[in-house]
Amino acid sequence: MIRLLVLAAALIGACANAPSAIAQAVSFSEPERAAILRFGPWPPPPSTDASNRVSGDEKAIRLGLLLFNDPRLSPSGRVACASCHQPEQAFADGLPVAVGAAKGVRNTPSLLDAGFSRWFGWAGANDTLWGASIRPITAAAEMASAAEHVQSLITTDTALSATFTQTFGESAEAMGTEPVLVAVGKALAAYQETLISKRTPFDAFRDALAAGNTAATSTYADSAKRGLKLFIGEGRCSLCHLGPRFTSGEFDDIGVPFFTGPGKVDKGRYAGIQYFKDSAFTRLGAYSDDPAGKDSPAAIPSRHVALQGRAFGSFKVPSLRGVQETAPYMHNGTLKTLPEVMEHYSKMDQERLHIDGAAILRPLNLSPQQALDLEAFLRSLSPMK
Amino acid sequence: MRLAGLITGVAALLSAPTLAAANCPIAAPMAAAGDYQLSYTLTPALPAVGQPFQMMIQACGPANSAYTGPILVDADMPAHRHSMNYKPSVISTAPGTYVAEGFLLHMPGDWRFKFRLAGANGPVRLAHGHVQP
Ligand code: HEC
Ligand code: HEC
Repeated sequence: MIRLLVLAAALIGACANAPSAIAQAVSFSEPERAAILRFGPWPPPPSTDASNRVSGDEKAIRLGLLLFNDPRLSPSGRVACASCHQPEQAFADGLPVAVGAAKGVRNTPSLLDAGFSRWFGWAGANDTLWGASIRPITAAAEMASAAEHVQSLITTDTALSATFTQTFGESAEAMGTEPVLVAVGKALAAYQETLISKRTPFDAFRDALAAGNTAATSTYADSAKRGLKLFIGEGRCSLCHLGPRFTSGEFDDIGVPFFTGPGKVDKGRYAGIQYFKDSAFTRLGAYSDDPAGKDSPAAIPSRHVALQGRAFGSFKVPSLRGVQETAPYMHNGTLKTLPEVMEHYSKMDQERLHIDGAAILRPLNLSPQQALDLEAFLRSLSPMK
Repeated sequence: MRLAGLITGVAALLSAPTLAAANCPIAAPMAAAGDYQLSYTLTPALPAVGQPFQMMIQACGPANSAYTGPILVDADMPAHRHSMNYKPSVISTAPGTYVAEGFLLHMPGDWRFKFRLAGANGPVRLAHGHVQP
């Protein structure tokens, strides 16, 4: 079928008087088709995190939901996880940079599909979802809380304390201060693992392509198809935005400035690795519930991550699922809209890139139509309203 | 491992490369320089981008002997001038046989696996190309 389409397109292309609407019909070569199939299937098979003994546990998920929405986790009583990760905003906040106990320097990422990550946060400071859920509790610019505060909240609140004991088989009082903080992180993680984004028009197209169902592939907008072609071809986007979540899960520098103030820089991945190596809340530490501990296959990347100069100013390649809902963009929220992101990739300032970045990225000089097409493709990565 | 040494030939035929000593010389080495040659297999055989994998290495040295010195391994993308974000670790499991773990290729394209052996007259550098789909 696809070969037929290619043939038809070639024939039409050869005919000078072809009506323009038909001449634009978009077809994909065999290698393109293979590349497109690698962006799925969606959703991925369910999985649990061996480092978290309450991963997938119903009681923990309920406790996590309560805690996620509870501003009393912060000493001010005003900042909950949900203050920044707002459920009605795809679990982001729409602000350039987060504002909690103080103004931060990074954009709040969506938590949809966060459970599928290997590294968490823009700099990958954590290697588990539970570690990434402890970090904001104690971070000065986020909840500015402490383990003692968390333990006393749970021991004094009857509902929380009962759910906690049911979940962990031990009261928060008996467990000890730091273990309670870790348990809270693990319950929060169990809840966040359930936040999985819905299927999108792109997924329907991808599955139809996999099944060779031409009638179904034809319902996907031509502009999105042209954008997809650019995304996996000339645009080279899929060098970094790959797999079902459109991310390699790794880190790169695409020339977004990393100055955070006069004389101040966000070191990005470099600082993330440093934070990770100092943290007790990792797959390599005593709080991992994985029976194989730090020798677990799941901990191989954690054991081998290397602090290299090129990590400086690199940030996590973000997932592009639901990207339409999570403006503004980039680690510092400096690009307000998707057209601004297209403009960034179209005109990027190569001077600003690290030497290694420059070898991959170059200004794409997109035509207005190409920019619209890429944008249409990106919008097709959000569920239909 | 000592047992494996006794049954080298059989084990090699039965494809248990992690236990068997290297069968030197290697019939079709993947990389060679002077007296040194090596070949490797990956586990899983076709790792996906972003998926960690292991490498089983067979290495031979002068006079068709199993190489028994240290091996450093790395991977880079010459066209993009960057290496991996991870630093693999290597252990020897039998004479001339090594297992490296901690590989993770974060981008599709042309990669190169690089090996550094301690040769009799200084470092010996070997490389073999790898196309990551
Ligand atoms: C003040 C706003 C704010 C609050 C409150 C907050 N976060 Fe975040 N969250 C952020 C920001 C900003 C980041 C990115 C951090 C970074 O890169 O350093 C983030 C990152 C994360 C990540 C990593 C996501 C990923 O995909 O990489 C997780 C998980 C997370 N937060 C969970 C939580 C939980 C659980 C809470 C409550 C305990 C919480 N956050 C409270 C702003 C906030
Ligand atoms: C070299 C790897 C790489 C390539 C190639 C690449 N990106 Fe990105 N992309 C990134 C990284 C890294 C970020 C985050 C950068 C930051 O915040 O500093 C990003 C951010 C984005 C964002 C913002 C998402 C958000 O939630 O903030 C969009 C949209 C995007 N890229 C789309 C594209 C498109 C379209 C292309 C092709 C034209 C492309 N990318 C090519 C690595 C890449």
